[in-house]
Amino acid sequence: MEVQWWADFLSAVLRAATPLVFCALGVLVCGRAGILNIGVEGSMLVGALAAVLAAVYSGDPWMGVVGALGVGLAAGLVLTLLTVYLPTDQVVTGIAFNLVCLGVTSFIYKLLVLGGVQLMAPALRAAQDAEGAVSLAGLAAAVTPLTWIALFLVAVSWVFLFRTGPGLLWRSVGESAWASHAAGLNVFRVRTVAVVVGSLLSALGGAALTLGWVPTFTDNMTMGRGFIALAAVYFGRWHPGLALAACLLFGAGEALAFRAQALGTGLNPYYYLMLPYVVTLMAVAAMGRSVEPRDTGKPYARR
Amino acid sequence: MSKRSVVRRLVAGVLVLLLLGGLAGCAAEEEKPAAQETKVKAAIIFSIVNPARAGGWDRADWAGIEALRNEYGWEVTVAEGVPYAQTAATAAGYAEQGYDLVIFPDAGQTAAFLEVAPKYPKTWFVMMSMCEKLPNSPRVAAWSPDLYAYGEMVGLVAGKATESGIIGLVGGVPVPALITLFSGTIEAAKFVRPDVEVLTYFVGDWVDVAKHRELAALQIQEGADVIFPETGPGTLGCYEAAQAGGAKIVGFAWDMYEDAPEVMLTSVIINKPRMYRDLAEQFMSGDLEKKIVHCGAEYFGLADFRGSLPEETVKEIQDLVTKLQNGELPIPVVIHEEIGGS
Repeated sequence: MEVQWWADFLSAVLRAATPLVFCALGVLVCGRAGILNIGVEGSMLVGALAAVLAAVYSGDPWMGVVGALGVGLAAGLVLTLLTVYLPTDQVVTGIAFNLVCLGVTSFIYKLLVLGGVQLMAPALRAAQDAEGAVSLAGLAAAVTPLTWIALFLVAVSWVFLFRTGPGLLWRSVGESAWASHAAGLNVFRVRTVAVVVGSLLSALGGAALTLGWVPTFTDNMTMGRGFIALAAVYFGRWHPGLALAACLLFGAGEALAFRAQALGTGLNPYYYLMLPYVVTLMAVAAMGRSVEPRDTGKPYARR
Repeated sequence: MSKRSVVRRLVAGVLVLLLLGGLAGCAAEEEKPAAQETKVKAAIIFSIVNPARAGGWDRADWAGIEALRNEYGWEVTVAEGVPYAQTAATAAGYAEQGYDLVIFPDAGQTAAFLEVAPKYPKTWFVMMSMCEKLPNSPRVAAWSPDLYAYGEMVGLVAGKATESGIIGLVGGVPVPALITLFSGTIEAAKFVRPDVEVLTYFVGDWVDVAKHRELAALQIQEGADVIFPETGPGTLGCYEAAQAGGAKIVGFAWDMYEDAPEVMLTSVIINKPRMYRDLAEQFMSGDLEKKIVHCGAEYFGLADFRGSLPEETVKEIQDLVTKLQNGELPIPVVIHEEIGGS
């Protein structure tokens, strides 16, 4: 195949994987501290809307990123209150949170579009298009800055969780909150920071979907990408590098599904369109059982 | 109390009751004409949310709803985001609440249309989309756009407008209606430009904006300079891809210029308000009957080109469209089943 085909394909893979990588990291940092972040889809959705609105009103896509972070912080505080301090069942709360976010974003979106606001935001563009991405430097310039931020954060999270002292303490809260408490750790504080950071990352995933890919918003725009990120974390055995690989695999499946239609084999398009899901399922099956941190999903309350 | 007094009181009581009953009867009698004069109650069920700002098809329906409300004073209740699996139950709910009509704007609701109408023979059920068969019920009707003819009109525009000779068609889901429409587009494009290449891709849903963008961008990479997206809210992704890739868009079903003025070549409009007006006129005059109204090319038209093409090209396209509406263009009818795959 032509070099150009590969350049287009690789830039499409990175484009599709970037929102997933942010969200997967959001799930991972929460899970490592013992919080199952089912609300990742909702945080991603509110981040997507906030990013578009902030970018539309300010005219600057980076202000959109700031807007997404602001809303991600608010979502994180709400989730912290519910899952860390009350603490409610994390799965039920996460599902309810997703449904609330879906309703709220659709409501706000409807109000705005009926009010005549044009929701086509300024996008974070790549330095050049995929036609020039025939070298590594070209490929680097053919993706948006958010892709590089996502890859950088994967490295940062790996170093933090597996190569630093605070990362070890963080993981110990996820493995055994009571043992951590007995060792003098403030479990509430660690989990609060984890949920807020997780929500910020998920909201950044929403910003990557809108400002970095399609700079507009529609109802339920995330279309389950938060849950795919959740699956990527399980596939990646709660490790940032493997979670990144899962996101790239899913992105590759999606990019391949679209390109396969161009081959004109006469097969029903659905065969191609299920490719990313089939590839992901096969990969998950090949990886075997993934064991989450032992206290993930378990509420922690002071006795 | 004497026996006579009791009888007198009973008679008086009966008289009072009769009087009250009579008054009530009079009131009912008086209210009957008023009830007939009350607003016609219609319900319309959308599978997507926010139809007023969704894809062109739903916007065209929305314009029809506005016509019913504003021009005929109908009370129209709108249900949004109803999944196909729940459409029949939703329609049954409206029928039980005494609605005069239940309208289905989407051919994907055909199963619900066929299922629910026979159960409520006193309610009118109307399909405002492609329809080949009516339910077994006395009060059913359909306004069925000839999507092949519609596709032909799109093909004439795209075939004349393309400079590269490559046209991209982006579909939501490969349903038969869409295969028919795209087949018309392919044949008409070949009619005006025999060497044209038409790329037909399906996203797999109507709403995922990011996937729509990727497919349209892929078509642009393959040389398409005119894109026709026939899908739902995901259409915005195609507009974005066209803006980034320098291609043009032919809008679907309604004038989509405001959504993406930089890339909108024109839109091929389905005159759905006319279909709704036909329905209202026939319902209110009592002429509505069980039938399928086949809406041909006379129900379709072009939005303003707003300078997107040279004047002479626009004139050529408009002449071709007029000939199509008059049945003067010998475009073959070929259904390209292969584009939906097997």
